[in-house]
Amino acid sequence: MKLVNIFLPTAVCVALLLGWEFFVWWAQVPAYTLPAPSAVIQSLVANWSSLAGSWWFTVKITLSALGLACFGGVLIASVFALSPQTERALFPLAVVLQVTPIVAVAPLMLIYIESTMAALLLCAWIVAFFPILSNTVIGLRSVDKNLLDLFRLYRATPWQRLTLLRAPSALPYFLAGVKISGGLSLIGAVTAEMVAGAAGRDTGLASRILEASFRTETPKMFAALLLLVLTGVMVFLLLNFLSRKLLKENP
Amino acid sequence: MITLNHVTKRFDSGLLALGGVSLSVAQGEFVTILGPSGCGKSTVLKLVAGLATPTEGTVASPAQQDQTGRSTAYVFQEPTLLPWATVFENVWLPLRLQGQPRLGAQSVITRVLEQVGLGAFHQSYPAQLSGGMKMRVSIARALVSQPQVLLMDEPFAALDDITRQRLNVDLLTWWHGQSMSAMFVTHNVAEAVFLSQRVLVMGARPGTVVAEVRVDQPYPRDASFRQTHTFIHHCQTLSAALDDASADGRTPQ
Repeated sequence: MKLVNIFLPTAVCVALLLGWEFFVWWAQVPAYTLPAPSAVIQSLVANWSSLAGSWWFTVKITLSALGLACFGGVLIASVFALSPQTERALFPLAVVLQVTPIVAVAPLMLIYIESTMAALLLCAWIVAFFPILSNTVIGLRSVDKNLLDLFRLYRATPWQRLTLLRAPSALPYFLAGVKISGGLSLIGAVTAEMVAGAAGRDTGLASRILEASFRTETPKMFAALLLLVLTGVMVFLLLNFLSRKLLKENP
Repeated sequence: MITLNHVTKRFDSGLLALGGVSLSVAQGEFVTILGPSGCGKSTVLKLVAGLATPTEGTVASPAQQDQTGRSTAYVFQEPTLLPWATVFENVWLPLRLQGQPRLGAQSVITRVLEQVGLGAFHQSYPAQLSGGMKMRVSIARALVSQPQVLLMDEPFAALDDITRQRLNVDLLTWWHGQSMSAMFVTHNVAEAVFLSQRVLVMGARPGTVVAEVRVDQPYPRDASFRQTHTFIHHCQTLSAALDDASADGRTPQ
């Protein structure tokens, strides 16, 4: 059963790659139109030094944005949970931030914020924090009313109510939000950088893709794309692992 | 020990839940409130627990002077356990909230869990237990702080009949011998007669006490009590009183 679970997706992947490789060889497709998987790997190896640096930059932005989104999302959600008035006042703002396409906002950010890195970080954060915020708000609200009564009956302190009741009740909701935000922060980081279109040393994979596209270095575009995909998958796996670890005692 | 004096309760919605309820419960007494759904039975328990305040009238109960939260325990219709905590941690909760460390509370918790027949389930999670077992955990949590008042709001209503009857017998053995007052809310006549020394019948909208029946059968009581003439007689009396109470509630004004 387990072996089949691993074998099937792997087999599909390998078959697709082989089919792709075969098609490119058989139809004599030029590399600047569609490079074969082997050419993508070659390009990845050849451009490793520039790609690795850019990859690290993108990873840094993504993880920082995610971390700040967790922090900010939980902080704002806690404030909302404590004061419904504040929520009524500020939630529309959060929705506005969420529904405005980040591609459209990013150029403005780049005008107002001097440091490109800070602007990228802010863009990624805006995209990433909303699922954490709204999920955590729901989670903090989802506390069983009777349990709240029980805590009142036993004269629990506000701190005990937060740590022993509200936080554990909200945890699964929060983690579900983090899983969504993980993917979004990568998307935010890359999208914003696409708009920034910055050149130079301190830039991410999006800049490498743009650069390669101007020079029609299609294999390099694919190589950068491959790194982005791997990053996304890694973030996903990492968050899945963390969430399973944290919810382990909650079968 | 517990006294309600002409208590009315009007909810924020304007609904008059209680329309002048007077009752008292002595120390060590087992009193059941029997009534149709929506007659304000649960509201009475909330008032006694200090989780609600009366609109008019006065409520006197140990929960009111209690700063430590040890005086009163409450069992809900649902087991109301922390799903992320083990059986042990759930029973620990009242003591933990009063600042008792895990190790210090261990012997008491072990004893209470033995008592309710869950000695082998310290490390289980609520999701792994049956409905009846979860309710046993919930009652163990109520007993662990050795309260003066035990309030139970239809705790067995969601359980099957066999489990309910067994828990009724067990509940009496856990309660008997501790000088604990018990208030039990139910809409089940047989359960009310089996458990209590006194049954108060409540009518609906607004809730008032419409009848009172004393069950003169000494404790300990076991399952054979259900076969006696006394038991059946009391059930008939209470069913009639409950019928009247429910009919009153339906009368258009």
